[in-house]
Amino acid sequence: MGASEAELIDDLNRLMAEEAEASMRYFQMRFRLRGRGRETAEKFFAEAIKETLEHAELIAKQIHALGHVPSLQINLSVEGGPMPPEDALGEALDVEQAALEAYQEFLPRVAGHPTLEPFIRQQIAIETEHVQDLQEVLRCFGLKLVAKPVV
Amino acid sequence: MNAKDRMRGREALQAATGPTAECVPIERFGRLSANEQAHIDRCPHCEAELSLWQQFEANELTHSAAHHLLAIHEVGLQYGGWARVSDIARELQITRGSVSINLRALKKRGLVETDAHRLVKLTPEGLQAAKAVMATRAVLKTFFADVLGVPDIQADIDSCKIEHLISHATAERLALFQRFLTSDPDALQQLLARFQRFHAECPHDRSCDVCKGHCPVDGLPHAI
Repeated sequence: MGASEAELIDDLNRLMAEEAEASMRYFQMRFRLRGRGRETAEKFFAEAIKETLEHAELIAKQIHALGHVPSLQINLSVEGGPMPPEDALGEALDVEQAALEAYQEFLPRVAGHPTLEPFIRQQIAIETEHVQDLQEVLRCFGLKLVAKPVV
Repeated sequence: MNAKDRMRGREALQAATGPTAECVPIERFGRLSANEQAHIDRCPHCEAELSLWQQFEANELTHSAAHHLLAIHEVGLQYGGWARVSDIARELQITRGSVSINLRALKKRGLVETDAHRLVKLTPEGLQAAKAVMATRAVLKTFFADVLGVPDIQADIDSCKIEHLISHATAERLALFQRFLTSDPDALQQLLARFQRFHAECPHDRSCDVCKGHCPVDGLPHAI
């Protein structure tokens, strides 16, 4: 393990902020959806709000288990008008990819740690799945937007 | 004259005479309510103001955008212009998610590009914008610190706040003015010494050609 406990806690706090902020972002984004495919996107965001908050809580529990109090630093102001579902999902994909990269970069720092390494590996697996799911949803949106040939 | 004509006449009058009490203030344009939008739809004055505001929004850099460009430039200096989202986030002390979202807007405007590994680089236009912001900040900071005598830290903060808001023309004139001032060091010293004395001798009745009956010097300590 290459990092001190203080550094690990800092990194965990940052990961927790990524998840909590994503949850708040999705919460607002859900109300901006307009146009074709809104229901599908709404369903995704409703689920994503819960999941990201659950992830933030899991990280908070890890911090707590290490004998520290989680410290949440978020500087967020989200606004903006209506947006098409595919744009909103595109933004969500960026956020999920950013979270995945954050976990991936953190993994070498917890190599050999009895609880953190398996936890981070599990998060990477989950986030990878999220990114793939979102890519798939966006691909479907792309397909739906192509006009059917006239027969 | 029918009702429609009367309405058109009133709209023309409103456009010519300027805002009314019902008009939407410019600071509301980014977050319009349904009622405000309805008012704008039937008010030529507000419609014109909104159109102007939209043009400004489309062309100008926001504070956040300016900081992202500067961060990408700063981080990228060590890696041939390329920066990682994580390093930009660390530099700006925000989450990677926020950086990713903000990069989308910059990419749309052609100011940044990304590669297959999600590394980020300024485009030539982005680099030009970043350099313009840096130059304006430097001009403002020098003016605040060296001419006005504002402490360095405060000069840094204040120049950062307005670097992206003033026009290039004004920044250029300010830079020219400073070059003019520094072209004669002796005269500059005398001028600054006179300025310091003048400030100390601000009239007791707080009235001058600048204040025009409402002294800003007295009001500033209470500013939010």
